[in-house]
Amino acid sequence: MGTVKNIINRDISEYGKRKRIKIVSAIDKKYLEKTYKDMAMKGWMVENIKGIRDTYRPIEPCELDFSVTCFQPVTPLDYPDYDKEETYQEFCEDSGWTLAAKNERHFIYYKMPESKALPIYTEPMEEYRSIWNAMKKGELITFPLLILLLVFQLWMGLKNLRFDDFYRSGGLFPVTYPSLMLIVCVGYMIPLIFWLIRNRSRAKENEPLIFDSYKKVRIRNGIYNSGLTLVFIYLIYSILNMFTSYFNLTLLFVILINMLVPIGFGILLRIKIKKIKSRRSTNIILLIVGFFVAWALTVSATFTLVSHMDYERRVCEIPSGIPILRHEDFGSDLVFQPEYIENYQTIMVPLSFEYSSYHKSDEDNFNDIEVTYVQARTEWIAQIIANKAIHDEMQRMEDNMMFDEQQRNYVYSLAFKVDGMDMAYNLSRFNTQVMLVKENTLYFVKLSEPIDREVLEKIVRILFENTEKNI
Amino acid sequence: MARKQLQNLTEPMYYVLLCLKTPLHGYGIMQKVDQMTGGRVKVGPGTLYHLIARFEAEDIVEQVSSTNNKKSYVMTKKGRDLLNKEFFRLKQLVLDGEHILEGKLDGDS
Repeated sequence: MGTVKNIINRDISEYGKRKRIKIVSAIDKKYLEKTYKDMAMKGWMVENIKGIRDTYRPIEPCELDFSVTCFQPVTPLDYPDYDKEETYQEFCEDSGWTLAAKNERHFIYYKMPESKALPIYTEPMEEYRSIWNAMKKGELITFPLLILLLVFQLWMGLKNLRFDDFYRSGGLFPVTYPSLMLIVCVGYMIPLIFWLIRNRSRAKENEPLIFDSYKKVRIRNGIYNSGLTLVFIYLIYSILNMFTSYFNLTLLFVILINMLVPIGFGILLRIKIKKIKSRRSTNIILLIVGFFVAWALTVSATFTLVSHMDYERRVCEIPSGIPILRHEDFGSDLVFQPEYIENYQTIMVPLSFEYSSYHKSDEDNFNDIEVTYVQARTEWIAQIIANKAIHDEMQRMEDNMMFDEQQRNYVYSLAFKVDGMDMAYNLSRFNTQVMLVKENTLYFVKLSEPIDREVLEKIVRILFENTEKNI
Repeated sequence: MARKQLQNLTEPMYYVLLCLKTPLHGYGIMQKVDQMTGGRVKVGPGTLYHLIARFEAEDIVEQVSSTNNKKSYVMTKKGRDLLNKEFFRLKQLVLDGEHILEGKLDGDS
């Protein structure tokens, strides 16, 4: 019986090859050189570095010196210039280097340690330029664009964020996802920018470039990859959460479209670049058209998703130990027939639910009751939600041109204090909706009748003073 | 944005151009620079490739017919003018240095 590691290694080595995933940037030269050297000493020679996966073939274990160079960076819009590649290879091989593997960006050469071949780059400025060019057509275009897009997404997410997004499933997704991705992208960009600034002056002074050590790159990549993995897990978790909440075939279709269109577009573009020979301008037109098609499909898919999401909500039992508002609490003889609607747990709000009971009777007061219970994880989260609810209400008033100075503080007009703390806020100009906050618990209560002082005291007494310790 | 035209040559550029008075292939250039400078100046293959690419783009050197599947290069007229200009600039630098450091004035000799 082998260990899991052994089994994995056996599987991937069944054709005499070994594959390893690597995610590196243009400045990780020393890291790559040491990795390939160590692998050669273990009897594995790198032979393919396409994409993020390196392939190794078995060799006799030996000591070799590797040189990782950025030769001719190719974007998806460029065709490889094979003539230039040949020239570069001719120069390197004639001077004692042997090509091990190459991709659109890197050429990996090796030599025996006793070989007197010159380093591939003897001029710091030329080496700096080659890496700068590689980054200019790679990270320095894609990451700033991605960061701009994420900032825009975050801004939109924050702009449209409502107080109830804090306790609704997936409500914070438009804010948390771009935030996490922004941290990852900026974290990836900072070492690159730092490297460029530090080495530009060194190259000008004709001093050797400084690359991060193997250990430093491992730590950096470890942090970066962990961040990326966390974001990926969060994404999967959010999608699964949506599935369990609102599963239907339309949703499945939409998510597949959202994922497959950009991937398919990328593959098609790659195939075209490899197989069909045409001018760069053709590729740019293709890219724009393809991008537009992908965007249109994604937007239409998203609209379909949104229009199909909000019609099936779970009916569940109310958790025990939490007091309920009933018609009879207000002296009404209407029967309390609530429809319990479950809300989902979030990181910030471990428990929330809402219920409502409606009667069409015109004779009885308090024939409509709607209550939302929110148990935030901490008091300060509860305060954030409360502040956001107040802000949203004021914003709503402004948007509806109903805002004036006299009404500016109407949300605070209830001025109800418990233990010296404000806890009741008016969320309706007609005094029919209040928000109650105490410690980490919030209630949003909406009634068909105005909530005056007497009614409010009654609500507070029922919801808080009878409350057992929160779950 | 157009690339800034070469004004002064770096040391490796100067020696590479010196080598290309007659046609020579890449490895030959590297060896010849090494010999000419007694190992003081070394031009690696990556550096040489980028220098040649830049020289070609600015019409300073040109590729001539390949021999033994190796591409050979030679200096163009523009390259020769540039090299001459650099040679006289360097010569003037040396002369100026001699005047000051070794006290050789024009009338002394």
